[in-house]
Amino acid sequence: MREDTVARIRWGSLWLGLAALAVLVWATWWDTPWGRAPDWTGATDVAAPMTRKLLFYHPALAWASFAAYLVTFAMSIAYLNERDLRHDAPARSAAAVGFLLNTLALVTGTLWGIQEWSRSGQSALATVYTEPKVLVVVVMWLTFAAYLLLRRFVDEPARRARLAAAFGILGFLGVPASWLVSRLLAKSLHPDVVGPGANPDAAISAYEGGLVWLSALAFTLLFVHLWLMRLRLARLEDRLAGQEAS
Amino acid sequence: MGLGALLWKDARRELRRKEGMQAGLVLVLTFLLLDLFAFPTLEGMPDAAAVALWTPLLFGAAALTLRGFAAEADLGTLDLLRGLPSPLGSHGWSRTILNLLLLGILAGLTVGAAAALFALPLSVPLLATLALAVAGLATVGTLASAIAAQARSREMLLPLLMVPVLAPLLQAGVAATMDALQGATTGDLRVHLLLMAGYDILAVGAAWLLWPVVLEGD
Repeated sequence: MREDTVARIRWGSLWLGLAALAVLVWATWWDTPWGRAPDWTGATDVAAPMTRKLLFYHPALAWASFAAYLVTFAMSIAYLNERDLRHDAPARSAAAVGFLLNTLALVTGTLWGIQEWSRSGQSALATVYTEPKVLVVVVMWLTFAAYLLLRRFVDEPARRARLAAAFGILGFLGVPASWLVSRLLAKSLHPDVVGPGANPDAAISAYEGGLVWLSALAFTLLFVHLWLMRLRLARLEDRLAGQEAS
Repeated sequence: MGLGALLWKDARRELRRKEGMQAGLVLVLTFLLLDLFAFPTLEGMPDAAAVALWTPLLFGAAALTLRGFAAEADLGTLDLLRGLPSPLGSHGWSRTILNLLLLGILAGLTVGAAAALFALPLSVPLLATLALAVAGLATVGTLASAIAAQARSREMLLPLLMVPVLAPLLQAGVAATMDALQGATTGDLRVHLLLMAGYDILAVGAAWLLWPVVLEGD
């Protein structure tokens, strides 16, 4: 792809993403011409109305980190297929951004979960981190961390790209497997807000559902921007390393 | 050079030096000793008993599997192996099969020692769970050890590479172990055992694809 096209996508995704995020923040905290900001103050089944507004940020962060891992997986396959170091830079850039997004998803999820969930004989934090869906995100976080650490401990570029690509593929397979195990073996407190398995106790209005999709769009665009920015930096690093070697 | 010859080569090396088995055994005994400080018995405590079984098994597996390719990398014989007239994957599979056998012995010793020390009930479902666990640990552990052996700080890196990939196996295995220690039958553990078997098959498939890539030279 041409450099100017990539630059257009990079900056376009930033501005569009920030615009979507601004609309989202406005719509979740103030009233808009087309809808009122969600307010769960009167809802008896909601433990922390303020924290519940994380509904419009937390799932999108998690989805964006899944997307980042998918990019890492795909570029790892591309590298192993062609052995071109140009495919290594997108993989490691996506992993770095994905790790950040995954961390934010865990932080926001923890803040929300310790307010909303409780099990007798267990601290709120333990309840959150024994929750099956949270464990899947923790597994993905550990996989990102291991991938990035592996890259730090291999010096030779081709070997580093090869081993990281192999681990990127191996680690990616663990995430859906972990999701399946969690789904089949454990009872979950984590609500399915949208989709065919939607939990009726966690029902939200169509307006709130629209805000959830808007947040997904905002964070996906911001992921694209961060990824392309990190990719630009990675390519400059590679060019510098190549010049130093020669 | 066939798979059998490579397996015999690795087995002779391990029989002569016993590095992997010794490392695994010492780590297992260390963890069991630590458990002895805390628990006079684990009878009627399936949660703690599952942890007492799985923690030494996981870290013993890491210690055992690391020694194979790490020793080859230290001695510089990894490049010699790559030059042999045999598929690169064969080197990985011979090491995996050997680790499967050694890990089976280590797991047997771990379970036997834990049962004797903490009065744990041994049962067919428990042994079936641990057998499936050993298969997964050996497959993923050997592959991860081959990756870690080609990096710096491999002893620190290997558990970090293994644990996220093994997480599904550990989740299902620990749950199955807790239920088995409470008297669950193999039928009761059908879902757990199927998940573990499915994971093992997935791991073997991934290893089959990745061994030639992991052992490739620079």
